[in-house]
Amino acid sequence: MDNITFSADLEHNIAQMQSIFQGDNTLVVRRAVGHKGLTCAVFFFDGMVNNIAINQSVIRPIVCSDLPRASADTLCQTILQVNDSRVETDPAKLFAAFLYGDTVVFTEGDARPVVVNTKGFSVRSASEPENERVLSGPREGFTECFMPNLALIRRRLNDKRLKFTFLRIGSRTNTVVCLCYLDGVCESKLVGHLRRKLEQLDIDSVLDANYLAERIRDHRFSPFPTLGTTERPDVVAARLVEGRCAVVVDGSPVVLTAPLLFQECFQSNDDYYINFLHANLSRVLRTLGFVCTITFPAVYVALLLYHRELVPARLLFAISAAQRGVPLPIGWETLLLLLVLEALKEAGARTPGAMGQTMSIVGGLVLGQAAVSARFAAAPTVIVVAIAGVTGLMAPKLQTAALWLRFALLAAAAAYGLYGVGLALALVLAWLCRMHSCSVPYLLNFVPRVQAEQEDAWLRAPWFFMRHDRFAVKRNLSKGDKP
Amino acid sequence: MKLPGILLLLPLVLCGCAREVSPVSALALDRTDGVYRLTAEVVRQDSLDDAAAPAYLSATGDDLPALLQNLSRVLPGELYLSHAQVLLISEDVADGSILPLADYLCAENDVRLSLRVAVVRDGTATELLQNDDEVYALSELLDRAAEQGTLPDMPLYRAAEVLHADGTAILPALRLDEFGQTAPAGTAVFANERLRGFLDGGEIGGGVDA
Amino acid sequence: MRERLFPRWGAALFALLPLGEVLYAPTTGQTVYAAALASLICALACAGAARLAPVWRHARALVWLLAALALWPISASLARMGLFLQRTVFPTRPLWSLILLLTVCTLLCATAGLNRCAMWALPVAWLAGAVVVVSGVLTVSQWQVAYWAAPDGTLLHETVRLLARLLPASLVLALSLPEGLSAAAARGLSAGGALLALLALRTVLLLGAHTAALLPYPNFSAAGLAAVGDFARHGEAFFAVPLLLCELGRCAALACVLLLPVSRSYGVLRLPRRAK
Repeated sequence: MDNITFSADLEHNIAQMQSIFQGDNTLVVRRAVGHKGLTCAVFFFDGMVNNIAINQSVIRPIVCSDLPRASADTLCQTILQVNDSRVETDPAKLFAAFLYGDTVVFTEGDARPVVVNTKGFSVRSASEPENERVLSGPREGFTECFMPNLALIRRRLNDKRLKFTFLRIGSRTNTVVCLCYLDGVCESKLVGHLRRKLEQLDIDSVLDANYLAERIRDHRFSPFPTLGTTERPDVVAARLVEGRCAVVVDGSPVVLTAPLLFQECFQSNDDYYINFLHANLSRVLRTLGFVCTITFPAVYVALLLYHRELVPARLLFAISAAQRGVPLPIGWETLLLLLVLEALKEAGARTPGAMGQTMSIVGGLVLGQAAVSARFAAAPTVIVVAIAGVTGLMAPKLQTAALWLRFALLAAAAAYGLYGVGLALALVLAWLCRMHSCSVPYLLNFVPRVQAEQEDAWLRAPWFFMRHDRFAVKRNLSKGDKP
Repeated sequence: MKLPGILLLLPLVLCGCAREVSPVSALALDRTDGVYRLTAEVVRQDSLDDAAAPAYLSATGDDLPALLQNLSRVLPGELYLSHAQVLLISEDVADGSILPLADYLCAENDVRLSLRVAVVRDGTATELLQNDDEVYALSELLDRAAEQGTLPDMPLYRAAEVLHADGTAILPALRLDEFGQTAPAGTAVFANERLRGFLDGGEIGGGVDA
Repeated sequence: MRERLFPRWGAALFALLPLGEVLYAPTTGQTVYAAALASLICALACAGAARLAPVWRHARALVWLLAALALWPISASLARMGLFLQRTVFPTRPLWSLILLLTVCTLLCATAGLNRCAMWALPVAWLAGAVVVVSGVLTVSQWQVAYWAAPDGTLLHETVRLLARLLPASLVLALSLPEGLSAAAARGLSAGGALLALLALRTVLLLGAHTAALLPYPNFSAAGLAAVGDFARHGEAFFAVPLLLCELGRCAALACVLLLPVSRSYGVLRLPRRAK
């Protein structure tokens, strides 16, 4: 489209636009002629624009104009009655705006088009995100609409240092991506690092934030997240204040934040809106829940295969009795039940509304009971897998990690008992130690003398103790740390 | 992604089936005509609704390793001593040196160091073991008596220590009373690793029933 | 953030050394004093060696020498870990397979580099310390103070025996440190040594020296007497896993020293990428 040139002849321009968008029936071309002879052509896509704005601010002023001819500048400055219009000579920008719901106006005798902001596609209201609900606190969420999302952030951060830098990514989708940060609070290195990564991307489409997240994150094959995601403007605002960067993608309600530290996976939005005593208990439970979900099936298998002496005698007799008649060895039985659990979760998530709930109940209760009665699985194994499933929901940000680690630890337990579990966990810890997110250590808590970050790490200090500069990447660790 | 998946599943193949085990809750050791007889109380529970029930299996041999080996041959599953809490020895066994027995049990990986050893008076250890149908009734009796001070609190590791130190030790004694019930029967006294006699509760300042 | 080895990490790394000995230390009445004495000597020696480290590591031949010296403690540790696993829980598995498993784990940890190994050591040392303390506390009621023994002539022999196990690894590590962390090394070794001594004391007071002598791994067996109600009776495995990880950490750190002449970095080991 870069080679397109327009001429001063209106009919030529109309023909050219129609040829460019040949086969697209949503393109509307409207000739408007003023009563003194001013002739213009208005182009827009049906459904993408605000019809009232076009009728009242574009068509009517042209039709009512008493000028016989007008240049693009005159059209823009004196005739059109809209707050956002400009003469656009760059074809790339022109078509980007046009395809995104703006209206293009050509006038007879001027080759330059006028772009009028008339975007008016239907958008979802800023309702509370389904997967980030809070008991108390703000209930707004991002939508798929770009500018309102930025407005939601700005409304919470009335600071002149708040910067929104736009980039366009995707050769086909030409998606607008916005890099948000607080200038002076966020390290310039971090902004530069993210901008460089985004600019270097060579992809054809960006339809969701995850298209970018998987490409720009560190440790791309790790099941542990190294980029934060949220659908809540209050969370983005909080992270910006802490010196992090946010990436807003047009068409996606999910906003990426960087860097992300491991401890953040156990934090919840509620933690900051409820009493700190309650919040801290919840955080501890979430951490224990994660440990429980990855280790419980593995420890169960390890105990029954290699360390039966650890199980209380009467419990061991009961488990042995329950196991009698079950066709599969304990390791395979647990693996199979974990797979069934994942299948049930997947079916529940993909099945619409009430049917999904029914599926879960039928799957969870009826199937479980039937499996035990039919000696297909032992009751203790069903209980263990159910506990692993329930506790897995407590740290939703780590669900991928929990899923993989559960299987990995199960395999380690089946092969080497509790020692295998210990060794596997040690390797996971070693992996976490070497991970980083945007050059910040993933386990920043283990770095000494970063007291500021400790105030909101595994536990949250009460608000009256917390300093405003909680995030540690600002601090120059190589100079500030003392033995 | 195929390789990690295969690597994850491989150990599960390696682990194979869980071994069928026969958990032993208590042991009784007798000696007649120079031949040792070991009886094991093996616990069996067939379903979750049933109660754990004991079954008794015996083997003979010249020493404890041979006894355990012979016993494991007659058991349906692997001999599993980790949940054994009581070892009863008859007076005949106690008359010989009990130090090798204590040493062997201490060094055996599966046996708990907290195993309680008791001497059976006026009868065989097997008889007393088979007297009660309830699993772990004997160990509960010995634990309670040790807590109350009516019988000496002398688990295996402590008995081995005192036997090694100076060859003297005291162990709890049990007998079948006139109603056929298992009852504490004072304290068995060992000197030079051999049974020298019994003390009643009054003599050692213990409870009234000893 | 600049790659560096923080003193707290260094202290944790050195604390792993005596903690790694817990499983294998024989327990006599003198072990308590021997552990304390050996740790103290190691702490003093390592404090001095850590001061030399910045000078030492510039000489290429000396770096190679240290790498060669690291081979012995690594091999000894891997062998005894494998033997421990075989004797206690996997009697039917061949020893080589267990050693192979431990070697793979060691190398995987070692690829993180010495700095990150030290970072890894921090939570592991805390976990092992906590397990050791809990295990000790749970058995306090069964201690027999009469088993306590005053120092005697065999103390020196015990100390030398412990030093022979502890000192080579400690010195190799101290001389390979990227920063002069003499205080951290001394602190870590003293803390780990104190825990080792306390645990030896626990085992002696619980089992007595004679019973302990009957057992191949007395500290490990003594941990089986710590129970919470009816749960975790015979729970030596819970006790042994963190301590085994301590030794794994020690092996990983020594493997980093072994790789140092080749990698020339204390950071994450990066293999050269093939040109596409």
